[in-house]
Amino acid sequence: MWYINEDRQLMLNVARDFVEKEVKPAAMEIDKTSRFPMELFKRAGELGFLGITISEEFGGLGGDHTTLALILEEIAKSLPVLTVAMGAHSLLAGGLLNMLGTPEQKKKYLVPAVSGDIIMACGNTEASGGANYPEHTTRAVLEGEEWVINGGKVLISNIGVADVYIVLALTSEQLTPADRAGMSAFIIEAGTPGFDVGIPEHKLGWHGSATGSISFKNCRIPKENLLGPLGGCLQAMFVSATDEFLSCGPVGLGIAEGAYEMAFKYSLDRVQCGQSMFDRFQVTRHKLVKMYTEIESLRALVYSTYAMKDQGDLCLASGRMLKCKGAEVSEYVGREAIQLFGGVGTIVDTGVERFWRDAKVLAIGGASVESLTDNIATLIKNNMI
Amino acid sequence: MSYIIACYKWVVDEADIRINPDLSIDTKKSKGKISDYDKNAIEAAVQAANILGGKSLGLTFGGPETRLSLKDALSRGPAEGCWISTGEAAKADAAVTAKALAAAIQKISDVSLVFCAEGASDTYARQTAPRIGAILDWPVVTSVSKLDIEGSTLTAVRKLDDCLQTVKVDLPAVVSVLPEINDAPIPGLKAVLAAGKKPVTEIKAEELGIDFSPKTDVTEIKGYLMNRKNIILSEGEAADKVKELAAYLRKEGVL
Repeated sequence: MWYINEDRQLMLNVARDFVEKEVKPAAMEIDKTSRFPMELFKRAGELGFLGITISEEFGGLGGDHTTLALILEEIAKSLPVLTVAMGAHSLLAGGLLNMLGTPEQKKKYLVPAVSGDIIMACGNTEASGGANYPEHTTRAVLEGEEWVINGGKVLISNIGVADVYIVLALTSEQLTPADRAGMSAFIIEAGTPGFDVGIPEHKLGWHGSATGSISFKNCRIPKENLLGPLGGCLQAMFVSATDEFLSCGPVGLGIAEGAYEMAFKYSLDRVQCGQSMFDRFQVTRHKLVKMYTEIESLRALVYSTYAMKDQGDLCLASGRMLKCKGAEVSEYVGREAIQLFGGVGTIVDTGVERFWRDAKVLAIGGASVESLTDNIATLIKNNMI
Repeated sequence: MSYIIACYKWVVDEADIRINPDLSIDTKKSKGKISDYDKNAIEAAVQAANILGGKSLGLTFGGPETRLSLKDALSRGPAEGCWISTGEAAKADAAVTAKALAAAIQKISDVSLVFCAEGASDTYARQTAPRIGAILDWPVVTSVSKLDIEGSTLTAVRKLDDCLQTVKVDLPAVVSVLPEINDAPIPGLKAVLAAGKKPVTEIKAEELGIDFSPKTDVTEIKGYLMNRKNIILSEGEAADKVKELAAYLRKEGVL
């Protein structure tokens, strides 16, 4: 592959070894029990997967985004939910901390986050919508040397297991629509009085992502836990969210590959009327070819977009396109894989239907493809692609 | 500071090997990798170097493609790498390989312990360690599943067909290890990047002054096909089926 050089190949081999020896054996059990993959997350930290693009000064690898994409793709082939936990931790919360944090804040929170010694979550979405900031109600008011926070967030990943939450809250009466000023980010440690964590929701897919609600009732945090400029965190949120959208490309690619590999193998093994399904049915072959073509199309888009990212492009539009395409292809391939398995494809123990379930959530979680498509339209109209 | 050497082999990844309908082997699309068993030998050398206070070194013999192995090997812990390079390596047999490795070990000179895997994942010939030991005239301990080092004495547990045998040897020695000797850890990404900064010595095979003519010729490599007979014993009582099964197995020479 054109995007794999010697270092990337070696790092990809590390991910493959990790997936083969540690992730695959646990994947089905995690999907069935919906437990957070704690031991795998910690190993991801030990192996360096949680700080690939973070500078060496703060414990990261100082590496490129393409390497991150390769690692995410490889993990998503077997356990997509692990990439969800990694994304919430490293790209959303970690991204904000990396962009907005003071050196002291980075030393205190980013360094242990990169090694996996602490887990982070990002509290952004509210019941009124993820990016519908004018209707967000969580507020922070400065009282003396403390910020007092009230409000709540929904559909937040890594709840309960996170040690640190990066939370967005209004710090002015209302958001200024023109420059989106008025929203600030805060660092809130788990266990802070007035900060409550809900119970993880039982979802269609992403079993084990520990996604649910958090709430604040007169939650007091030190003044210095303000992250970044007062009232000015949304630009950084836009960038870290874009990085998370980008990651849905390689994650969608991995999901699609995981489902395709199972379906292809099944089509060769399953004998009907003396022949494998692959040899006997043209429709089987055609389905597999279409699935494969979609996967390779997505691969081309993923790694050309990540090459742009590595050249310094923020990928505001293309990052959103990647999320949309990653979700579309993984959902399509996942659905067709179940169809090729027939009845046994609907049985959870077969292990193929979970790819479709995870793909379905990919199309919504973090931001729906519909809302992102609207974003892309605006970016196109304003010539921001 | 004395060297503790891990010999390793860059092999074709068996997952990429295709067997053609005529049973010929297709390795055109195969990537290379460090033989899986050699990862345990490398880890054993790193651990032994920590005990002995020496320096671990990964040593390999091979053609230009073997260069790719050095970073991988060094990411697994050795402090240094050494590559005996030659375009003739593809034709080398076990004797030539052992001669090259032994000559390099003599050139490195201050060596207290050499580790090999019991066999390589491509041929599993199990000849490298004994041949190196014979050339160097050092004690050789094979099939090692556990070892302890105290001072200059190595105590090894050998896992043989029907027993465990404990032996003691004085260093220097050559040891071939079984996979259960340790859990070769997966290197982290930082170790991969740091490996590129570790010192590597390339020794041109010609510098070693040895005869590279192989004593054996590989005339053909073929895949094998498992032809199942698909006999189902469905008639009669269970006891009769067992008798029938035993008769079949005797007929096939299994019992």
